[in-house]
Amino acid sequence: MYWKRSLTIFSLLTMVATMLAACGASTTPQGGAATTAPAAAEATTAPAATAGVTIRWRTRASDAAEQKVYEELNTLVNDQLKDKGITATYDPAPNDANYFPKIQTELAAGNAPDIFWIGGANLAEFVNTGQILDLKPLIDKDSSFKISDFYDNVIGAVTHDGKIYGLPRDISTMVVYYNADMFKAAGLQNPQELAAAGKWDMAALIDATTKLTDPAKQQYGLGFGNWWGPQLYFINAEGGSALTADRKGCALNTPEAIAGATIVSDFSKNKQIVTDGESENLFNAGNVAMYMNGRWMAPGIRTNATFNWDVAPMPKGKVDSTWLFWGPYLVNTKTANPDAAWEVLKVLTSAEATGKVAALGTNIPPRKDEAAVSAFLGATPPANNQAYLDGIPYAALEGPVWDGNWSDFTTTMGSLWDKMTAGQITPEEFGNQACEQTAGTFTK
Amino acid sequence: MSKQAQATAASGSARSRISSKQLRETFDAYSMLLPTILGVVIFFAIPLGISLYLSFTNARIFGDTKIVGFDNYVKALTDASFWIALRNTFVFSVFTLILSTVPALIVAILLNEKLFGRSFFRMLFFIPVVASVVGVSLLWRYLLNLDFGLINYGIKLLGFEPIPWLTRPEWGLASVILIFTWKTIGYNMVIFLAGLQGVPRQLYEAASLDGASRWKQFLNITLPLLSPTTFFVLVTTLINCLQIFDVPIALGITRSGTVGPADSMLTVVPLLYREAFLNTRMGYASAIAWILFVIIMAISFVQFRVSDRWVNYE
Repeated sequence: MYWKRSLTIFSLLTMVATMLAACGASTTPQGGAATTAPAAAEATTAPAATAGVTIRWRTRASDAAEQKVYEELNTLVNDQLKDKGITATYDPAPNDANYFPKIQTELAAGNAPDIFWIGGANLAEFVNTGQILDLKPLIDKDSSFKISDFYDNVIGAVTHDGKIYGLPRDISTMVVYYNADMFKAAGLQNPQELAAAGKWDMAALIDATTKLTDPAKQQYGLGFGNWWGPQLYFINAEGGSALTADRKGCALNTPEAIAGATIVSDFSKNKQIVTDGESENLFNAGNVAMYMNGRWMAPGIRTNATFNWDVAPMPKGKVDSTWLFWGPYLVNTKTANPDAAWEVLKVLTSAEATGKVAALGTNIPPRKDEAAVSAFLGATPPANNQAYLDGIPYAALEGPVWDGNWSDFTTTMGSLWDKMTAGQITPEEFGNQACEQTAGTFTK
Repeated sequence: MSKQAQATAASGSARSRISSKQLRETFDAYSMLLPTILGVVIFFAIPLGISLYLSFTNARIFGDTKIVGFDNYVKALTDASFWIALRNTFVFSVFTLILSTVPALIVAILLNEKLFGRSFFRMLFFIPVVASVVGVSLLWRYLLNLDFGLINYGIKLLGFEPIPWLTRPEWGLASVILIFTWKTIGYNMVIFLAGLQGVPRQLYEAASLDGASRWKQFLNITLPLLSPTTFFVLVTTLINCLQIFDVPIALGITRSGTVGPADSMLTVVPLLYREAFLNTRMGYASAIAWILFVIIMAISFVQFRVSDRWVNYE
């Protein structure tokens, strides 16, 4: 009898403990939003209001080298805000398809980080959740902060209906990384030399890709990741665009867009490009002559490549074209202390911090300040850092789609793009089917 | 008090003693069952009910939720991705069912014999079962790589063209079938092995004395007596196949949300996941889940009805 009773009591206790554990809010950095010391919980505006506050912030890193950069940035934030009693905790998340859904799920559950980075194209999806803090009141009352220090077009993209929904972490144009040794061995002018001679255009890209592809050596002429950035570069360069001018519809079925898609379709047909998940590693291993990507690829090449490499602007198509990628840090409306979050955000986007990130090689500062730009230009290799900046004036800005769902659009487009590069559909069919199948993504 | 009255009182007291004992035992039993019952209700029954409700709404992670009737079910029937996922799921299930049961039975029969190193080989076949799906999927990504994968290296040594397992739509699903089969054979082998050990040796001895060949013994003794085990393996493997999620996601999901080249690895549950979490369409994803539930129920029902004709219970 005694053991039965004991077992019953034990079962009940276990059940209660399990339920309490499941229902209780976590106080670890992975748990809720900001954790605030009791003394500071009530205050909101006075400097002392931030004392004892921990602000959790998140961004994703492409690789271990980039993650180290953000860990060092976290140390910088803590050093600068020590006197204000604010502690920052970097909460990394994997750089994969789950990054944005993870944050959206956390927002719904009420335990998203206080500050988090997203891609510029995803801004509308996040703002539409109603969980993103309007920073304008905080900016207006902070005389030490000058929003004019940031690139105007990026601030324009983050502004909607008079509200400012974030500050850019960094910017990056797309460039061509090239294996200088491979060009030299083949006796070809490299992209930088061709650009200097004014000959770096789509025909030159196709020519170099063809000449540097050698299946016997497992060598590809060109590589890029299988995502919308490089895919749409070809479409933009031929004078097309993924979206209509008002960004309320699909424009992948225009002759210009189809011409851009045809270039990649032909590359695939001739087995001259590599775009799978390992393509970046193949470039780092010396098996790919050219690779199209943003600045974030540089730390990985520095760490892994054993050959000479540099960067060049994207080749000119019918028009000058590259992307201006950017992504803002957003503040969660449920942050326990918006003032403390603002202080952390200011440091994360300051000239010193962005300059430091740039110096470590990860990205281009989102600011026009001389100090930030100089820090970036001095961050070598690659030697030709100017190539990233030269594209800014004509680059297409990665922009939010306020009247549609960009993720949904790119998933459908990506699947059809794969069919096209596999030769299952023609570029024309790709364009037409993409516009048919994405029509629903523009009706809210 | 009369003797009769005393007897009645005593009997009543005994009844009440029994009742209170029964009551206590019932309480004890339910107390011990309560954690499980609560677990099932909180983590299974309630979410199931909510999911059914959501399937008739336009619910997203955020925003207002409105009842939309059967719109989500109608949408599924007209959604190209749903049909791709359904086709892939059935192709995957048919191939995997055959490839993970027939070889498993053959291996089980071999390892049921008194062979040298029998325990070692049993362990060897079972290792993939306990290995982490995500881990092995990442490992297979390297093994199947077009340029530096070990499998293509072997194929090239044999003088054939390397196979673009992970980069061409026509090979995407084959890669998932290969990995899932590799992971499942060991488990099915163990189940068959247990079934084989339950077949009485005397039957084989009697059949041998009657001059039956090994093949005849297999057809007339092993297969019929193994039929309940085979039925169990077929039902559980098929349900696992219809619910396949981890291998396609670990192997094929891209930054744009496609699963394998041109969605060639997209099966129904990854589509459900993509709609729910990548596109935040909870209502539509719930409808997909219920359609899958109905399909699995229907197939299992058919399997059970057909089983009467070929499964022999002793």
